[in-house]
Order: sequence, then C-alpha cells, then structure tokens
Amino acid sequence: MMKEIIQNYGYLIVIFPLLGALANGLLGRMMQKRYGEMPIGIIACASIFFSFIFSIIAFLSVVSMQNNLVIINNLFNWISIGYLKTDISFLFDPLSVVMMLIITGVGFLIHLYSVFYMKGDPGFYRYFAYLNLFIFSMLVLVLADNMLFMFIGWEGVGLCSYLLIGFWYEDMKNAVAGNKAFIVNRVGDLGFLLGIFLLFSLLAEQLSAGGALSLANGNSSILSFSFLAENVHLLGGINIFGMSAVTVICLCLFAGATGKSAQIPLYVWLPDAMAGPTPVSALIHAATMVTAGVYMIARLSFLFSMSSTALGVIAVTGAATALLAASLGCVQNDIKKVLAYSTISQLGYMFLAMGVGAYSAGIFHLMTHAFFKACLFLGAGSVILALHHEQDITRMGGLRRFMPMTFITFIIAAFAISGLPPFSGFFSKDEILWSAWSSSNGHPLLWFAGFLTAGMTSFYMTRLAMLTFFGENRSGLIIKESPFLVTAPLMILAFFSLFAGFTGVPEALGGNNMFSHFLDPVFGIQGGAAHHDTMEYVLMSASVLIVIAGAGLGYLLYGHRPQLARILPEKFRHLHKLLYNKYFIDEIYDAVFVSGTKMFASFISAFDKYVIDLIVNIFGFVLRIEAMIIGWFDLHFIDKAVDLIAEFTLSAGSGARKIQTGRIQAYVMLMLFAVTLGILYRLIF
Amino acid sequence: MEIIGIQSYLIISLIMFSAGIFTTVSRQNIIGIFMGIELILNSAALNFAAFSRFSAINLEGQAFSIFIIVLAAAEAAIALALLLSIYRRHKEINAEHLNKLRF
Amino acid sequence: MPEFIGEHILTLIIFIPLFGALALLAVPGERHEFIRRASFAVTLVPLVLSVFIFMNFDRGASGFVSGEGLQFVEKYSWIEQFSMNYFVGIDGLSVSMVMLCALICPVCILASWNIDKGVKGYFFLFLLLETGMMGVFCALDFFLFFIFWEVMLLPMYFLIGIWGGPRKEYAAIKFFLYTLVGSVMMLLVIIYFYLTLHTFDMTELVASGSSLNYRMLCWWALFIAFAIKIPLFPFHTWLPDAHVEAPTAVSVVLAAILLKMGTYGILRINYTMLPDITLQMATAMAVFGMINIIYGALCAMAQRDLKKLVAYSSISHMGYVMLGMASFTAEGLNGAVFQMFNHGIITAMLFLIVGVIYDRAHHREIDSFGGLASAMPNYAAVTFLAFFAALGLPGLNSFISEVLVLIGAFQKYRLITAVSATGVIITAAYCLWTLQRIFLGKLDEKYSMLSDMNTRETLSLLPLALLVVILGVYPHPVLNLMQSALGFINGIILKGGI
Repeated sequence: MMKEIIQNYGYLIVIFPLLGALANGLLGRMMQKRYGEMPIGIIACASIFFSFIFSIIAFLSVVSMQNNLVIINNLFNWISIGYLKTDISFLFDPLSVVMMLIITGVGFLIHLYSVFYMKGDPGFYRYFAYLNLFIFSMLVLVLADNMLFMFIGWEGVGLCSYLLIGFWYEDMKNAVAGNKAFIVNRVGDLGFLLGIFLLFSLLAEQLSAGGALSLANGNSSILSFSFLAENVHLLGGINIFGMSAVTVICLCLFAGATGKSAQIPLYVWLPDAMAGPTPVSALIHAATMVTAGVYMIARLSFLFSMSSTALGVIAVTGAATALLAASLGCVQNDIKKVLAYSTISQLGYMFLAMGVGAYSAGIFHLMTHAFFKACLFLGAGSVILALHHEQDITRMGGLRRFMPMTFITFIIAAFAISGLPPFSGFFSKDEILWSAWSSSNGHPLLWFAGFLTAGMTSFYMTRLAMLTFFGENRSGLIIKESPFLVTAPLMILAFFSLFAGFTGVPEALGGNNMFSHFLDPVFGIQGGAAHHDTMEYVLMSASVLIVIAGAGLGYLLYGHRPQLARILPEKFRHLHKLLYNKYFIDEIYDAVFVSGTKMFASFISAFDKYVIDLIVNIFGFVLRIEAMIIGWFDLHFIDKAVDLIAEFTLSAGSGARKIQTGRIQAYVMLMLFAVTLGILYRLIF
Repeated sequence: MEIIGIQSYLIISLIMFSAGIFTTVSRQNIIGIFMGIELILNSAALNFAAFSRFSAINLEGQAFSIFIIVLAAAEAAIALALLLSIYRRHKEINAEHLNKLRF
Repeated sequence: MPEFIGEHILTLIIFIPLFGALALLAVPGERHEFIRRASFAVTLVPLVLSVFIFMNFDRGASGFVSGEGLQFVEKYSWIEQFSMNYFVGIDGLSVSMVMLCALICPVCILASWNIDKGVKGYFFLFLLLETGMMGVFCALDFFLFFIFWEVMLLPMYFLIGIWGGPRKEYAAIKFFLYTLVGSVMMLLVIIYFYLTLHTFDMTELVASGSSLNYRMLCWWALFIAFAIKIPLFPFHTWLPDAHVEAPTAVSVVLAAILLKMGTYGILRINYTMLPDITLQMATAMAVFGMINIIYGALCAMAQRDLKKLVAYSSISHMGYVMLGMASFTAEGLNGAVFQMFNHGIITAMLFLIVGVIYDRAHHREIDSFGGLASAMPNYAAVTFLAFFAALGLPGLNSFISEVLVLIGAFQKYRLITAVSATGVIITAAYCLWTLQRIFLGKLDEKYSMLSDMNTRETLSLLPLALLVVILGVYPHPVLNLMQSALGFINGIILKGGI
C-alpha cells in the first residue's frame, strides 16, 4: 500500500519544495508587500513539512519491505539520444531515505528557525524561495536514479548556495564569497562531469563491443545506478592514461566531491561561505549540501570499491583535511568560522570512512553530524542575533546566564561533536576510527590522524564554549534569550544530538548496529556479525581519553587561566600567524589561479585585439599598400603609356587640326574619310 | 517603258546620302545637321527596301525600313526635345558653339 | 485555403516578410507607430506558420529525398538553361532553425521599438533580412541557397552601417568584406560543382563529390566560407566589432541566427556533399571547436564592455557546436544542433538584456555599474537566468546540449574534450563575475532612478526565458525534430555515401 504510494507519487517529495520556491519566487514580492511575511513563511515551511511527511512514508515503506529495498518512481524520459538515455526518475532505498529524512527533517526545523531569524528583512520572500529551491535541489541530488539527473541536484545546490551566500548582496564581500563558492565548486564539477563522461563512454564502448547494447535497442539507461552496479565490472581490465580506468573515473568523481564537500584542495570556499545568513550555514554548509560528496561516494560505493588506489587517495585526503581544518579551527575568532572549519574537519572524517570502505560508518557520521552541527550553527545564530550581529568570540562571554536554553543545547551539541560518550558523535566517530584501524584499506596512521583530530576537536569546541558562554560578558550589551521559535528547533536538534547515536551502537558495546545493518544492502554487505577484538576497546578508550585531554587543555587555557590564552599566541607567534591566516592558502590560490586566469584572459584578449585583429588589419593594410603600389604603377607606367599615346595623338591631331574645324562636322568628315578608306581597301585588296 | 532597275534606286539613294552628308557637314545649325542625318537614314531605308525588292523572298528589308522610319521618328522627337532644352538654356543652337559635350 | 497554406507553407514563410517589406514602402514614413506594429504583425505570420510546421512535421522520417526526410517541399523550374530550380524544403536539421528564426524575428521587432531614425527603412531592411534568413534555411538548390545568403548580407550591412554606434562604418564594412570573402569562396565552389556535376540540386549533390578532383580544396573553401560566419577562431574578429556597433535587435539576429548559418552550412553542405573529406578533417574541426570554447571564454572574461563580453561568449558557445559536430556520434551531433537552437535563445536573451541596460544608462561599461539588483529586481532575475543558462546550469536548456556535445565528443577525442570542458569553469567565472559587477554590491546613487523592465521588454524576454526552462526539463520537442535527420547525415559520413 505505502509502497504503491511512493512508487507512483514519490516525486511529490521533490515537487512540494519546488512549488514553494516558485510561489515565493514569483509572487513573493507582491505577497510581502501586501500581506506581510506570514503567508511566505507558511508556504515555505508547509511545503517542507509535506515533503517531510512523505519522506516518513517513503522511509516506512522501504523499511517495511522484506528484501530488495528499492522503490523507483519513474516520471518521464529526459534525454534519449544515441546510447545516452536518462530518465527523470527517483530512487528510494535505505541510503536515499536516510538522506531524505535528514534533509527534510533538519530542513524543516531550519525553515522554522529562519522565520524568526530573517524577520524584517526586505528580501524575506527571496530568502525562502532560495531555501525551498535548495531543499528541492538537495532532494533531487539524493533521490536521483541516474548520474546526470543527480548532476541537476548537484549543481542546483551549488546555485542555491551561491544565491544564499550572496543573499545580502549589497555588501560586495558576500557577493564575492558566493562567487568563490560557485567557481571553486565548478572546478570540482568539471572533475565530476569528466568522471561521468569517462564512465559513460567506456561502458558504452564495452557494452556495444560485447553486443549487449546497440543503437537500435539502446533503451537501457547506462548512467542509472542500478545499471551501473550491474555492469561496472566490465571496466575491470581497462587502462587509460596508464592507470586503471576505474581509478581514473573514481578520482575524477572524487574531485567533484572535494569541491562540494570542501576537502583539500578545494575547501577554501567554505569558510568564506559563512557570509550567508546563519540558518543557511546550518542547513547548507553544515548539515546537507556539503555532505553531497560523501553521499555520492556512498551511492557509487560499488564503483569505488573496485579501486583501492582511489579509496586510498580518498582516505588520505579525508584524514589530511580533518587534521588541517581542525588545526585552523583552534585559532579562529569568528564563531561561524570556527564552526566552518570544524565542518570541514568532520567532513574529512566522513571521507576517511569512505576511503577505508566503511560506507555506513561514514553515512552514520553524516547523520549525527547533521544534527549536532545544525544545532551548533543555530545556537551560534541565536547568539549572534542576541548580540546584534556580533560574531567575534573575543567580544562575547558569560552568555550562559542570559541564554540558558541556547547554552544547554549548544553544550550538548559540543559534547556530541567532541565525541564524548554517550553523545551521538561518540558512536559515529568511534566506528570510523575503528574502521580506519581495522579495515583492509585502513592503516594505523589514518587512525592516528583521526585520533589527533578528535583531540583538537574537543579542544577548539571547549575554547569556543568557554569564550562564548563562560567568563565575563565582554560585549557590553544587555542580552535576552531568543524566543521559542528559535529555541524549539535547538531543543529538537539537541535531543537528536544526544540520542541519535543509539541507532548505531556497535556490537562491541552490546548494541546491534541497527543503522549500519539497515544500510548494508546498499553497500552490498551480506549481514553477519562484525568481528571485534580487544583492540577495539583499547582504541575506544584512547580516543575518549584524548577527547577529555583536549577538553581539559581548552578549559585550562580559556576557562581556568585565560591569561595563558593571551600569552601562548605571542610565544608561538609564527605558528599562530600561520594558522590564523589559514596557511596563506587563500592568498596562494588567489595569486596563482584567480590572478593567473585573469591575467591569462587579459593576455588572450590583448592577443585577440592586437595580434589576430592586427593580422586582419595588416591584411587590410597590406592590401592598401598593394593598392597604393599598383596605383603608383598605374599612374606612372600604365597611365604614362596612355598619356604618351594621348600626347602622340594630340600632337598628331594638332597637325590635322589645322585643316579641320574640330566640330561635329569635322567628325562626320573623319568618319566619312575612314569609311571611304575602308571601302578603298576592300576594293584594292 | 523601261523597267526601273536596282541601279536607279541606288543612284537616288546615293544622291540622298551625299546630300545628307553634305548637309551634315556644312550646316552650323543643329536642326540643319539633324535634317542631314534624316536624309542619310532615309537613303539607307531606301537601300533596304530596294535590295529586298530585288533579291529576297520575304519582306525583311521592308520591315527594316519601317523600323528605321519609326526609329527616326522617335529619334527626331528626342532630338527636338533636347534641342528645345538646349535652346532654353543657351539661347542658340549653333553647333560651333556647343562643343563642350556638357551643359 | 488551408490546403494552399499547407502546400506552399515554406514559400509563404520566406516571402511574406518580403511582401510585408514592400507594402511598408507604401506607408508614409512619419507614421512610425503604424510601421512598427505592421512589421510586428508581419513577423508574427511566419511564427504562426512555423507552429503549424511544428505540429505537422513528421519526426520519424529520415533521408534526404522529397517526401521522406524532406518535407513541405516545393520545386519549380526557375532558370532551365542552367538547371536552377526554385527548390525549398526542410528536414530535421533545418526545421529547428526555421522555428528559431520565426521566433527570434518578432522578438527583435519588439526590441527595435525605440528606433527613431529612418524607421521605415529600418523595418523594411529587417523584413528583407528575415526573408533572406528563412530562405537560407529552406533552400535546397545550391544556387538558391547562395542567393538567399547574399540577400541576407546586404540588409545586415545597412542595418549596422546606418543604425549602428559610433564606429558603425568600420564595423559594417569589416563585416561585409569578411562575409564577402566567404561568399566568393562558396560561389567558386558552387560554380565548380555545377561545371563538373551539372546540377545545383542539393539532394543530387549528396555524396556525389567523390568524383571531383579538387575535393580537399573545395572542402576548405566551403569550410572557411562557413567558418567566417560561425565564426571560428582566426576568422572571428568581425564579430565583436559588428556586435558592439549594431543596434540591439540587429545584434540579436546576428548572434541568434546568422552565426547558426555557418554551422548549418557545414552540416548541410560540407557534411553531405564531401563526406570523405569531412571525416578526414574531423580532428581539425574538433580542435577548432576546442580553441573557440577556451579562447572565446578567456576573451569574454577580459572584456569591459558588456556587449563585447556577450559577443565573445557567443564565440565560446559556438565552439561547442563545432566540437559536437566533429564527433560523428549521435550524442555529439544532436547536441550540436540542439546547442545551435539553445544558443540562439540564450544569446538573444543576453543581447536583449544588454539593450535594456543600454537604453537606460547609455553605456555598457561593466565596471561602472553595481548593485543594480536593488533598483531593477525583475531585470536582475531575468539576467541571472540568462547568464546561468549561458554557463550551462543543469535544468536549463544549454546544459543538455553541452553535456550531449561533451559526451559525444568524449567518445572520440578524450584529451580535446577534457580541455574543452575546462571552458565550463572559465564560463562560470566570467558569467558570475559579470553578474557580480553589475548587480551586486552597493547601488550607485546615479543608478537609483533606473526603472525596471517595461511591458514591451518583458514581453520580448519572457517567451525566451520560458523556453530556456522548459527545454531544460523536457527537451524532447526540439530533440525529436532533429534526431532522424542527423542520424541520416551521420550515416552519410560514416559510410561515405547514402
């Protein structure tokens, strides 16, 4: 019953937010002017809420199926040319329903929160149109049944992110940040596209060579995930550019993921993206969009599993990003920047999980991260609002007394992200660390990177909490707790940050790892108890210890003896400067790529203007010179000859002239004379 | 009575042609020159008709004569129109003075 | 009556603008408003007729014979001594171009509403231009093709040369000479074909060039003739000048339709008549395409004049067409022709957009704008849509064509396509950078009085905007038209004959 609903009407999940976006985008300005903000907020929230209800139905119907947990809702054929056939169709399986629930659930809460946060903004309607459009794109991304359709969502979220980062476009800084985000993402997207092309062309080649596919009956959708999963083994033995084809494809796709999910080397846009409104940072740049890369790799796990080289690259990139971003997070003073770097760092964790083949652990962390990071961002938003858009943590402090609800939820989420048991982050992070150590693709060094990151995470979260909520109130403002519309989402998210982990308690701790078993079919794992040994307990305790150590250090520096926090940066001035300026990566990129491209463009343009056009003009000029030479030649030789003839004629004529009148009659006479001569000639010869 | 032979036509035509040439050459007045040209044309027409009469089976020559007459009429009309406008401008139609080929 | 229309629909489409133009001559020159409305009405007729064609076009038919692939054919003897015929008809390749042309012309008339100088002459020439353009796409007789090709050239010269900007004479003469060089080359080939093959009939000329001696020379002569129109890399410098100086509507026609004639000509003539050489030259064409994509995008990035930027973006986008054509895969060819259609729509939007701002601010310096989104929200929305379509955002029409082109080309030329694909980044960069400099940031005081788009401007942009979105989600209406015809052309190339 429920299955039929989803099979036939599953697309409604995506349609509701789209309708909301259209309604607000096209009629919003009029509505806001005439009826105020109420109808806009209601439309936006209601559309997401409907979508959320449908998502629950989809989830339940997937859960209720015994085997083959896949429902496909095929809408219509999109492109069908040659071998390329893609449909607009939606795929419901455990992976996509989990993502869908996160997106619509967290999305709905953030919509509610935004209604208050954006109150009084002249672009209120615009904001909600973009936000609904974002939910639409994100749902398309996770529900798409084939890679090209997925790419619509992939770029769609990028577009919404661009629009929302630059939402307050009157400040050029925000607009530039939006541009940066989109263009950096485009670099990754290029990789993604090339990956798709390679995958498609190689598969089409193999299939048509094997006779499994011909243009006449090319009605199997090569790029659909189910088709790929069945046929991707055909690429096994192929080499291109001296590498195995699968590795090249995976690396291309991973390039796309590094762009979207802010990994080395394309992470630079995310900190700048904090220029957008805070709920946007929570939804797009923490909970959902940035995890798209992780989702994509999980979705294509069958492909990535074929290339241990690619997985290795992913794992190392993830681990390195986690460490790098965590180190940067320790010194930032902007509350949102700290959270941004922590997001990058946590995404690094997820990629680490993907890279060691622990897909479900990665998705598990994705989910818990969505809850606690959304909670942290929304808490930060609450603080920022209360402080009249102050974001510098050195000018906060002591807020716990004024904003108890914000404080409590923030602390719960901070515990969760630090990975303190029994908060949700503990379980997900622990599973990743254990996989990094024990999986066949894992390596103790990968574990160690994750382990260090865990310590740094708890350090900078403690620092953040200390500077924001403890000590003296350094803002000099009278601070009030935010209203219920703000704190309610915070409470719900805090609740999940606290308890979401229990869906995936590992066997080692007596749980049954429900979450991972739910996802197992997607990743082609055939049930069975996971092995565990005493090492798992050792590592678990070690990570708990380093978390506590990190938190202790944070407390020591920023809570217990604040003066130390001031002395240390001066002691290690160079290190601090390097970290504070983010290793000067932005400046390097700017100098090398941005200025480089611009200079190259100016060069090409100058080339066009001064060389190509010059050639054309030279061509014209040469023609003119030639014309002049010919003209000169004409004047002095040809014309001279003519003149000579004329002069001769003249001088001859001037003789004859004396015996002629030179008038009409004379001509007639001449004519007569000539004719007579002619006749005489005929007569004589 | 002797049958009039082709020589008679040719002689007449020759006289007309010569008279025409003489008139054209000797006259100063453009109308005079023009009359001379008419004479030349008509002598040619006469030749056409005569040759056709004595040699050809069909009436090509006669047809040509008629063409020449029509042409001469048209030419005369245009020429007179031109002369009128030349006269209006220069108050004379003396060919001696109109040797510039432009107006 | 309907039967008459059905049988002579192409002739009507071609010559109704001409009749309209002649009728305009009878209208007193000072009745500006009437002339504008009348020309608009005249251009609506081909649009309606093209809708009729769209409904009745047989999408499954392939081949290049009347009644099969060729439809709505009319053939009358014209100059028998030289076996020239009045021979018109359309197949899947030309039908989309005819529709594009029929759609763009009324839009252009709307965009020409504010022409005040020599109104009668302007609209007369414009309608004449439409006749020429329609004729080029419909003609199936090589000589007729050439005549329409030249018919189109002359009004264009005057439209730029009389109604253009400050350097109009230079631009017009440059445009004219450039195109004339191409025309001469084409004419020589036409004559050579006639002298050796004794026919101007394109359907008879298909793949019959194999008996000729100077095939390579003919191919290059034709290719350069068309490359100038596209314009391909070393032959492109007339384009920025012509665009910058031309009035808005003329730029629109120039970019949306005239450029397509180059690629159309290559597909229609080089591909079908000299298939073996075409196959040999495939890589060269792909490299031309690649250079155009990257080069155009980089040049666009460096421009300060908005119109020049759009002009260079056209060069970049036409590179995709070239690249797709060179792939000889179903994806690539369909993508290329679809890109021709899409680029026609998008670039028309972009030039109209430039016109809107130029009418208000009287300059086009990108850097001196800023924050216009606050003053002109509707205009900003449309511009964002157009630029995002230009950068190939998924869900909008150009994404489909660009992906088809790249996927098709990738199967043949991995490296060339990979390099071309970097154009995606550069395009995104210059599009966003332009949007940022014009619309974002603080609104300058002196622009705060700018009014948003008026009804006429909205009316001219809205249909195009809708098409951009609709075709992005559901491209079948257009893709269906061309599929079988392109399959046929591709077959000629790959098999070296019919």
